[in-house]
Amino acid sequence: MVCNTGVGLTPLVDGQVHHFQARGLYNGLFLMWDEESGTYWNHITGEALYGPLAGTRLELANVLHTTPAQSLAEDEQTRIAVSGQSPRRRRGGRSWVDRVPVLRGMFRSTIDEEDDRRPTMDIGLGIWGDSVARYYALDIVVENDAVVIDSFAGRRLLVFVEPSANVLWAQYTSADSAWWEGKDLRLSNGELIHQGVTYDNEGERVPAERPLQVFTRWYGFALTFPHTEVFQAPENR
Amino acid sequence: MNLAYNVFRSVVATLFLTALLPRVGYAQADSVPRVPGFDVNRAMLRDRSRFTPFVVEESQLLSEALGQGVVDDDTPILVVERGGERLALITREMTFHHVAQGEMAGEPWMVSF
Repeated sequence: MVCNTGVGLTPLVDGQVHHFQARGLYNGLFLMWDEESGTYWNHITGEALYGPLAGTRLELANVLHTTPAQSLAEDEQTRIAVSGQSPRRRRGGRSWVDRVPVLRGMFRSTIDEEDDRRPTMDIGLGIWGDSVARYYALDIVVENDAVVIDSFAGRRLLVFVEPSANVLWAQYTSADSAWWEGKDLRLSNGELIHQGVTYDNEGERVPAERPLQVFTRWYGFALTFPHTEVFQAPENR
Repeated sequence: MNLAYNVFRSVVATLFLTALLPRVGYAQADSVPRVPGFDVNRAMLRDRSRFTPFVVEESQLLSEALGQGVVDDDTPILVVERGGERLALITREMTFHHVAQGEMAGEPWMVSF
């Protein structure tokens, strides 16, 4: 989708599987619709917006933007589902980060008022919890040597550019600083992130704990979380 | 310029919604339950989807797909996890489907994009 927002959801309502499809637009984002109830849903928050189930929420999970090389480094047993359907037949091509699409009028007509703290199609990582949301612009993280240590929901948070996919990831950490050793990220607590996988100082894998996050366009995140904070580089705080 | 654009946008949206609402069965849209703040007059509610959801019934090892040239090392993918299992979806295919869903490790899952 033009907003670039991938989200994992559990399609269960009262213990029953519902079947979803994209059907509609609101705030420049597509709306999901379920066959069982005919309700329209927000595809980022999993909240039923309009229809019989309005107010119901689906359980959320992270979906990571990555590459086969990185995913296999994480787990050799990773599987893939291929539909063979695509609006673009060309394989590979430019990453989402390199594209600069324009938000067309059809999308804009569903938006009341944009949040102009960042450019409409700016790309970054949005994270959120129960009471707070924050947006990390890719440009700002890149200018900060592609790694930031911040605090979120009372915990220390590592936000970095994952080199193989050139996207932002965030995970909780106990480190208070981090630096690059080639394409590996070394943390001050002795851990090393290699191909997106975290290892401790004895080379054992450490499971990454991540807040809910989406690699997304600014307009969609800001309209979904109107009170979102915007991360500022330390010198601008 | 902005005023003219906004007026044009409102007219187009109103005409579109006026034509669409009866077809989606919401002629009495005011009675449809909604969450506070949802403005149905701004929403485009389709009577059918232009996009076919991806109902995932089979998969293969990513390493095999890589060996067969189905994907490259650097093909953008989206990875979802359930019950300790991981499933990749090709990002460009998700720009066609927007929704994929299936079952993994005995648990239902869905990805929206």
